[in-house]
Amino acid sequence: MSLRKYYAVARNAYRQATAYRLDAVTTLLSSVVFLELYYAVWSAIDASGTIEGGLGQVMTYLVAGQIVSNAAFLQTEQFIGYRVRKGTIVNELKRPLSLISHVYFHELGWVVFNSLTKALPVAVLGIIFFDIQPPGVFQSLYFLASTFLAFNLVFLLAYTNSMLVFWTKVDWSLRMMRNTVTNLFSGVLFPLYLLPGSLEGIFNVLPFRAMADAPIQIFTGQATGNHIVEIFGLQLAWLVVLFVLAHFAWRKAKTKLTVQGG
Amino acid sequence: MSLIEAENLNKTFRIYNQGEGIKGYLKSFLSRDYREVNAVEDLNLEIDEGEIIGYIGSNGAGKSTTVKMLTGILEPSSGRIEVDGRDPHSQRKKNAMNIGVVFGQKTQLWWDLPVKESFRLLKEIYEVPDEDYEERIDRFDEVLQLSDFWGQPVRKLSLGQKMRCELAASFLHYPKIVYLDEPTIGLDVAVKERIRDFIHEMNREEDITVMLTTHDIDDIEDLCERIVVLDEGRKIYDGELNALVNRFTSRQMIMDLRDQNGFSLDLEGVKDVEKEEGHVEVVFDREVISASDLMRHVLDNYEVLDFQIKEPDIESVVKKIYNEGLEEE
Amino acid sequence: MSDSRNYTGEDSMLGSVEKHWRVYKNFFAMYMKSRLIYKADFVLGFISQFVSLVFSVAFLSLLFTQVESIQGWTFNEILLLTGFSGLVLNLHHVFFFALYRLGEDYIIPGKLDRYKVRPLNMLFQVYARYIADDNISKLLANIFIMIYAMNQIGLVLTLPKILYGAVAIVTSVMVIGTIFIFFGTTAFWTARSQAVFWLFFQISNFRRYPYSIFSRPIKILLVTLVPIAFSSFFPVTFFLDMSQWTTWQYAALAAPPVTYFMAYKFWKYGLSKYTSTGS
Repeated sequence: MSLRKYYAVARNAYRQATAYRLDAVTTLLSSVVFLELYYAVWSAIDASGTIEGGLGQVMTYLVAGQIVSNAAFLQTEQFIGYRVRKGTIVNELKRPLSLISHVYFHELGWVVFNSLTKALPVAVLGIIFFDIQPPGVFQSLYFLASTFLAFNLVFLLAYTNSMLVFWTKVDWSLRMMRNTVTNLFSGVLFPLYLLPGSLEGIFNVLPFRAMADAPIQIFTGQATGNHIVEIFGLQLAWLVVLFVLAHFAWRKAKTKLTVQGG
Repeated sequence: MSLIEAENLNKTFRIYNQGEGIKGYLKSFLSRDYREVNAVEDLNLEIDEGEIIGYIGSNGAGKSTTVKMLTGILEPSSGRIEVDGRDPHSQRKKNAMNIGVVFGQKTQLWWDLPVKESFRLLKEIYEVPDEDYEERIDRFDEVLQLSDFWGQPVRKLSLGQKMRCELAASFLHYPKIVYLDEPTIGLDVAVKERIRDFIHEMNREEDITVMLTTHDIDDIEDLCERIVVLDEGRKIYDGELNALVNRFTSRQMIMDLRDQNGFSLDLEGVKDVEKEEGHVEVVFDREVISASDLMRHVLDNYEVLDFQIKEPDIESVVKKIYNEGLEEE
Repeated sequence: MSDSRNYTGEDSMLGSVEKHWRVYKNFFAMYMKSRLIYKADFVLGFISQFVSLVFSVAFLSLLFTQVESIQGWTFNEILLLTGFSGLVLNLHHVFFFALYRLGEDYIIPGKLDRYKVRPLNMLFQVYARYIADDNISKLLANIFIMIYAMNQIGLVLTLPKILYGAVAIVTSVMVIGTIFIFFGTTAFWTARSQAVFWLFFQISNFRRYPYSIFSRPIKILLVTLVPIAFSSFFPVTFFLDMSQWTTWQYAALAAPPVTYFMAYKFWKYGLSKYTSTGS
């Protein structure tokens, strides 16, 4: 019974999202611009030295990064922030759906939209313009599964981050900060397999690797067989950790909300 | 030499069809189809220093367009305007120093700043000397009582408070002309009176000419000696208010009678009796017979189920003037 | 009584500039006051901008774990490029960002009518209405980066370099200003301005890297449609004594005032085409 409600929320979000056709085009184009810029940068690096694995692999990695980050792009902070400012967040507490479920299915609708209109086209463009070798059938399936897990991780992070809205009311810069931090540590900006050994430690201890680098490695073919299993394991482990974190953050926020009287 | 002179003023607008979506947005860089609207046609207007004139007409008659041309916001399609010897469009900034404007709902104050900061900014912009500034603020305070909310941010003010500030702001630099567009709309009676008092004082003691656009008949009756009526872009009346007073004194009483078939009225002051579907409409001159006298007579003779007294609105006044033709001063 | 009445039109150019300057000081002071009321937001905005700059330097460092130099440019030289280009960009944004929302915040709500009735320059009023205080922290951070980079390179600030630098900062801000005016003025026809600027925001990231690494089409883009090469790369090559770019270095000083003037003319043209709808 309640599942139908969840489906309705997701479908509603999907419908709203398809109204934003211009938004899809601009995101797609900004990925293209991103890839053009870093193609130039990495080509210059390639000319000055030797890149471990070659320029082609770097580009494949970056394209895959764009696919994942476009698919999992979320504006949760704004979604919640808007409702906090308007005061309608209180209504969410009264509803039969829990807040986190409501937001989750809303974002799920967005993910479907984003994947089709922003992520998929990047893959196509990558193949055409950057000579990317797409992964095989099975590898692609694992990639999709891992990207889905990555979305869940990004969601939990964004949701936890959004809780700060109850204290600060500036949602836009919260999202920006999350994006900035995530982009660097997850591999969207810099191919993590090129990290010098001394830095590997920090990157591994943080959850961000699992949000992009994980599926990317599957896409590029750097991870095969058992390694893929390890990757799934890593993502699931972080899923648990972040879920607990999110739950804790929501509890704190809810206390503040009820103490303040909404 | 009048203060404001407008000769053969015309303004034609092109209404473009706004395209939808991305295609529409891109198309707007190329040619679009449009239709033309004559907002103001062949307008001649002369306003002398020290006058308070009422500028009335139904919505869309061209009042705002005229004011926008006189204040330099819009360029006329053809015709000549001279305000204090200057063309307001080509000499925008100089003209602006000499005028004050209140635009109905749109505020000239800074939303997030306290009222006093807004006024300080205006002082700088309009080059009001320091000594005069304090004096004027105190004077405005007496009539408009601004000190009640002087330190509050503008966005927190009620409509009445905001309007009082708008008015003070438009008169701050004692301009030669002030254009007021619907300054009393939505306000309660007490505030309206204060505002009218203020306008009177500014006009009388500082010789400030006022051009008032309004739908409010009480505003007109209280403030204006002369009114100009606009209908569909054309001036259809320009003259003394007194000449129109009798029309304003017409009132309409609508009654639901138990049996209206035998209804007839033979009283002095009753101008017209019309029997409509379900009710009777009586037009009477309230200077000859009061509403209560009329009512008493009807109640004495007939059974009244319900009644209503209608004040004439601008639209009906305008229609009347339009139907009865132009009048010379 | 009529003496205290204002103004009969004595209006020198200098007097007008001086008045605008006085009015602007007031605007600025009052705007900052009203922003500082929201201290928490102000601080958070400050922090988030700072954070993003820290991360962009971190990213640059990561790139340089792979090489010693990118087409002859060392880490510190590229850092200088980042710093200078960021400085002028943010310097522009603090004061002149309002055009970005010309359509949405000014044209559509009919604010320009209100501005026309004031005895002040129209473009000035738009500029003065909004101060992007978020960019102040970025501005400071970029200055710091510049100074740090110059130190690391061992750059000696000779008199010619100081003079050039002072002028270049002004002309570079003019470059950004030109772009903003051209892009923003389109709102007079389309009623929307934010969309057009998107292109600028995407391309502006290219300012951080040496012009020479880009393909020909991109190079052309960076000196024509979005000419940010004039407000980043070319001036910096002067500091680094890269003489192969000399002509461009002087073009970077001479061209912007001309282009800004042209942009202003375009603005006036757009403004005159603009008609507000009668209510």
